Amino acid sequence: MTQEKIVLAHGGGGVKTSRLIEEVFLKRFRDPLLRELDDGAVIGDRVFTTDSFVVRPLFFPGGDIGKLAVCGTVNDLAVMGAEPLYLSVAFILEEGFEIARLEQILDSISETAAACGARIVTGDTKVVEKGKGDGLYINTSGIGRLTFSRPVALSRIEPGDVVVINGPIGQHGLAVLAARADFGFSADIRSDVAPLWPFIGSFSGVNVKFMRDPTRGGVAQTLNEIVSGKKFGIEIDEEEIPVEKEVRAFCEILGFDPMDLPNEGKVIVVVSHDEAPRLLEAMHRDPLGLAARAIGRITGSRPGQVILKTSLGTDRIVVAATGDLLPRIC
Amino acid sequence: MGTVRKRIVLRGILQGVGFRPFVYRTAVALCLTGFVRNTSEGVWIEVEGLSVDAFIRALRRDLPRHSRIHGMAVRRIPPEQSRGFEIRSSEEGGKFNSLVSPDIALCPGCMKEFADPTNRRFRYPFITCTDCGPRWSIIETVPYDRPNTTMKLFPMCPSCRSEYENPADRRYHAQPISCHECGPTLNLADASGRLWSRPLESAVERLKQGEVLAVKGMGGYHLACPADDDAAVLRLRRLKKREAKPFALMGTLEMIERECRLTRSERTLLESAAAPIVLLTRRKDSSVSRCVAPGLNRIGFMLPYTPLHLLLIEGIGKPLVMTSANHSGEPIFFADDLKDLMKVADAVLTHDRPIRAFADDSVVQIAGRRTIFIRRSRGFVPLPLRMPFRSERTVLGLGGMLKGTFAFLQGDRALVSPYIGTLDSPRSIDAEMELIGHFMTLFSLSPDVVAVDLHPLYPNRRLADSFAGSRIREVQHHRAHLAALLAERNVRERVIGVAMDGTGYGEDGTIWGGEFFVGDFRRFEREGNLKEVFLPSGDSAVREPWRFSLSLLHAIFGPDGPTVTLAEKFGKRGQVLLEAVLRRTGGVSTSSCGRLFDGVSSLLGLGDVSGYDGELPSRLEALAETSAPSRDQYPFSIDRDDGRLILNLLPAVAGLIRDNRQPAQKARMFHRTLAKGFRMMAERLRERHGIGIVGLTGGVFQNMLLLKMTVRELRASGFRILIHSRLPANDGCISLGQACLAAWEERAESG
Repeated sequence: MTQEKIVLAHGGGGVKTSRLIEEVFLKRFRDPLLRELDDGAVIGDRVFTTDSFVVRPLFFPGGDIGKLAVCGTVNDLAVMGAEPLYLSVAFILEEGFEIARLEQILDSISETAAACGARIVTGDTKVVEKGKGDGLYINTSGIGRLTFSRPVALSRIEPGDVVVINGPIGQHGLAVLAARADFGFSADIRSDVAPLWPFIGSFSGVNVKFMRDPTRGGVAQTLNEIVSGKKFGIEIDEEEIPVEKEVRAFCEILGFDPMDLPNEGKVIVVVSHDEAPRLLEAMHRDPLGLAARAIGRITGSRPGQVILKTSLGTDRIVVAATGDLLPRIC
Repeated sequence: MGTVRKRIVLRGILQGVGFRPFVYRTAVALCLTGFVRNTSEGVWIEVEGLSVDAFIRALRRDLPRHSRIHGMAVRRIPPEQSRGFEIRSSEEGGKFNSLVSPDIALCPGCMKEFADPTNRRFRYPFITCTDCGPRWSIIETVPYDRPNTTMKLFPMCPSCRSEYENPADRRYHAQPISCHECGPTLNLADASGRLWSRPLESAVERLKQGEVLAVKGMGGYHLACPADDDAAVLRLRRLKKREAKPFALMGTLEMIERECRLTRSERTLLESAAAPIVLLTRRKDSSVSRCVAPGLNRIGFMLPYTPLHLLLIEGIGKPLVMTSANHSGEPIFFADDLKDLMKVADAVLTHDRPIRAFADDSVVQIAGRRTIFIRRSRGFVPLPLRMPFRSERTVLGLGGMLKGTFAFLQGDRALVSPYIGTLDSPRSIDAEMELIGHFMTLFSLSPDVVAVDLHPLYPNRRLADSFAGSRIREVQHHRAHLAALLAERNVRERVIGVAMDGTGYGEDGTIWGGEFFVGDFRRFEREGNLKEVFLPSGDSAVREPWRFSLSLLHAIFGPDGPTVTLAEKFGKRGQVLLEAVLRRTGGVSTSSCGRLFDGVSSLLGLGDVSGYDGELPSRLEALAETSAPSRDQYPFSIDRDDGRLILNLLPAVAGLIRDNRQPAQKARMFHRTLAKGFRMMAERLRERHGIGIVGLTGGVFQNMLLLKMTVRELRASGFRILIHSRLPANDGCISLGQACLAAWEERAESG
C-alpha cells in the first residue's frame, strides 16, 4: 500500500477507508484501546471520542457544519451508551471568512450542545492563508459517561436479536448533495442531523446489545460492519425500511439506494427479541423515534452477510458502498 | 516378432462414453489378451499378443463418438502369458486425471429402441446406453461407476444386469442403465399434494389446458407451456418474474422447420450430442407466440434431448416453451423441492433419479460458418479447454457478476463451470460455492490462487476468503475478457484486443466497456477507448437507457435543444436527472460500448427501459437487419488523450439524430459506423505497434450484425481476426480470463 496515494475514497468510510486504517494506521498505533476500532475509547466508565468536519456546503437544509460537528461527536458517545458531558471544539479558519457566518455557526454549536446537555470546555483556533482552507474546518472531541445498565458491545449480539432503526433514512446525504450541487429540489429535503442524546438515554434500561449511527456509508455500510467476520448475519426486510416519500423519489431518479446514503440523526440498535417491543415503545415517546421500527433480524444461517428480502420476494446481498455511484450490471 | 505386452495409460474423455467396451471389442478382434480398467489416473490398458501396435493404431482411429484422448503413455512390459481379455472393475483412489463426460443427448440407437413396440424399453423415459444419457449431472465422485452416481439408488434387474455385464452389448457398463422394471419412477405432483396416476398423460393434458409445468430434465428443471399459447406464455413470465427476456423452445426437427428457417449447419448443431439451444430465424407465419421473444427475429430452439422430453413433445404434438425453472437471474432449480417448484409452476413432472450437479441448457448461434456460444453449459461442461501455456499454480477465477461462471486452471488445462446465474443473490453465491466444492472433489483441485474482478461491489468477491492459504488477485474485467479469448484460441502472440462490453470497473475508477488493448498474457496496455460520456444514476441508467440517452445528448448538444426536449418528456425525473448530468453529480464516466448501444437504441425509439440486459441493443440489431445493405455511414473521429487513441462516436450519434432516413436504415448505418471505427482504430494501432492480429471480445460482439461487419472490415484491411469459438464473448468467459491473468502474474513474480 506504500506506493499508493491518498484518494478521496480513502475518506469515504468504505472499503478503502478500512484498508487505510488497518494497513497504515494500526500498524503504527498499537494501543489496545484503539484496536477495538469502536466509535470511541472506553476508559473506566468514561468514553472518549473525536471527529473532524469538512462538509460542503457549510449550510444546508436542516443544519450546518456547526450542528453537525456537535452531533457527530455526541452521537458517537451516545451509541456507545454514554451520556455526553464535555466537548472540545477546534477551528481551522480560512483567511477572508466572514465573522458573521462564523457567529452563525458558533450559535448553532452552542444551541446543539445545550440541547443534549454537553458542556463546551476547551477549544482552539487556527487561521490558514486564503485558498488553503475551504472556509472552515471543525474538529470536536468529547468525553461521556457510560449509563447503560449492560455493556453495549458487538460481542453480545446473537441470532434471534432484532435490528431496529429510529426513523427514515437517507435525508442527510441527499440534502447535502442537493445543496452542494445546487439542485432545483434542494429545498424539498432536509438533513436529519440531530443529537441522539438524550434520546438514547431514554432507553438505557432496555437490554440493548449494540448501537451504531449509520453515518458515512449509510445503513448498508453499518450493517456490513456489524456482521463482518462474525458468526451471524443480518436479514433486512426492504418493506420495513423507513424512507420518506421525497427521499425515495429522488433516490429513484438519481439512482441512489437510500441504504447507501449518510444519516446524522439515526441509530441502528440491536436488541434481544424479547426486549424489542419495550425498546420501540420507549423510542416512540421521543420525537427522534416516532417512526422507529424493526427492520430485520440477526440470523445464524448466513454468517458475515447482509441479506435484503426485497419487496419482490427475492433475496439480494447488500454490499458496503464505495462512495461513487458505480453500476454493476451490463 | 513374438508376443509383446504393452501398458497403455490414457487420459481424456474416456469414462461414460463406451470406451472400455470399445477397447474390449478391439482387443478381442485382434486376438490380444490382457485387461482394461478405469483408474482415477485415467484408463489403464495392458494388451499382449502379436498385433499390439495395430491395437494402438485402432485406438486412435476408431475412437467412440464422444471420447477424446488427451494423452497416451505406452510402455513395453514383460509378457505374462495372460489368457483372454477382461474388463476389470474400477480402482479407487489415486491422483485424478481422467475427466468426466458431459451429459449427452438421446442417441439414434436408443431412439430406435424407444420407438419400437417390440423392444423392452419401448417408450421408456430413461432409456440410455454407452453413447448417451446423463453423465455430468449424475456423477457424485470419480471414477465414473454406477455406485458413484445417483443411479446407485436403483439396483439393476437381471435383464439390465446381463446387458451391463456383457462386453458385446451396447449397454456394457452403461452406468445409468435401467428399464421399466428397475429404473426411476415418473411422478406428477401439484399443489393438492397428491401424486397423479398416469403422470405423463396427465402432464400432457395439463399443458394442453395452458398450465405451466415444471419438468425435470437432465441438469435441472424446466418450466414448460405450449409455445403458441399467448396467455400461458404471459403467465409463465409472471411466475418467473421475467418481463421480456426471450424463452427457449423445444420441438422435433419437423416442428422446428415449420417455425424457423434452418440451414444445414444449424440443423447439425441442433442434432449434435450436446443438443444446445440454437438461435434460429423465425418464419413470418410461425405459430410461436410473439410473447416468447418480443421484438426479435430470432428464437431459440432445442431438440427433445432426453426420452422424457420426447414423450412430452410427442404427446402434445407441438413445440413447448422450455425455460429453466428459476426466478430470473437465479440458478436453475435442480433439487426435488416441490414446494419451491410450486411457486413457479402449477404442477411438477418429476422422477426419483436425483440430479447431483446442475447445468442449464447451452445457447449457441451460427454466424457464417462459425458456431458462437451465448452460454456454454449442458453438453459442454466439464470438457476441459487446452491452454496455450502451463500454469504451475492451480488458479480459480470466480467470474464477474452477470452470467456468472467460475474456472479452474491447472497445468495446461482449464475447466469452466456451467452457467450459474447473476451472482448478486445469496442463492447464486451459495450455488457457486457448492459447485466449486464439487469441482474440487471431482478433479482433485485446490486453488493456490483465487482471482476476482476488480469491481469493489461484486458480491462473489467474498468467496475468495473461503480458500485458506490461497492468494487473492484482482483482475480488471476487460483484460479478463481478452485473456479468455487468447486462451481459448490458443494464442501467445501480441494482439490488438478490442473489448466492447457493457459494464466493467476500470483501473481508473471509471466504468470501462469500449477498450482497445495491445499486448499478450504478460501485459495488455490500454492503448485506446471509446470517448467517455457521463453515466448518471448508476445501475438505474442500465435498466433505463433513456437516462444515458439524455447524457449522450448533453455531450453532443449541451443543455439545449434535443437535450431539453428529452428531459421534458420525463417531467420532473427528466429535469432532476438533467441537473445531475449538468453537474456531473451522482454518476461516473464511462467508455462503455454497451451503454452507447443502449442510448442510441432508445434515441431511435426502441424503448426507454430495458427488461433484460441487452434488450434494446438486440432490438436495434433486429431492426438493422430489416434494412437493405448500403455503403452509408455516419462520421466519427479519432482523437488523442494522454497518449491513448480515443474513438469518438458522438458525431455519429449527432448525425443519426439529424438524419431523416428510416429508423432501420439508421440502425444499420450505426452498426456500420462502429465497424469502420474499430477498423480505423486497429489500423492506427497496427501502425504504432506492427501487430496484425485483432481479437474481438465482450458482450457487444454477441451482436451478429456488428460482428460480421467488423470481421469484414478487418479482413479487408488484412488483419488476422480472433473471435470466441469455445466460450461466449459475454461475461461468461471472464472467469477463465481472470484465472489466466492471475497465473501469468504468479509466473512473473516467481521469476
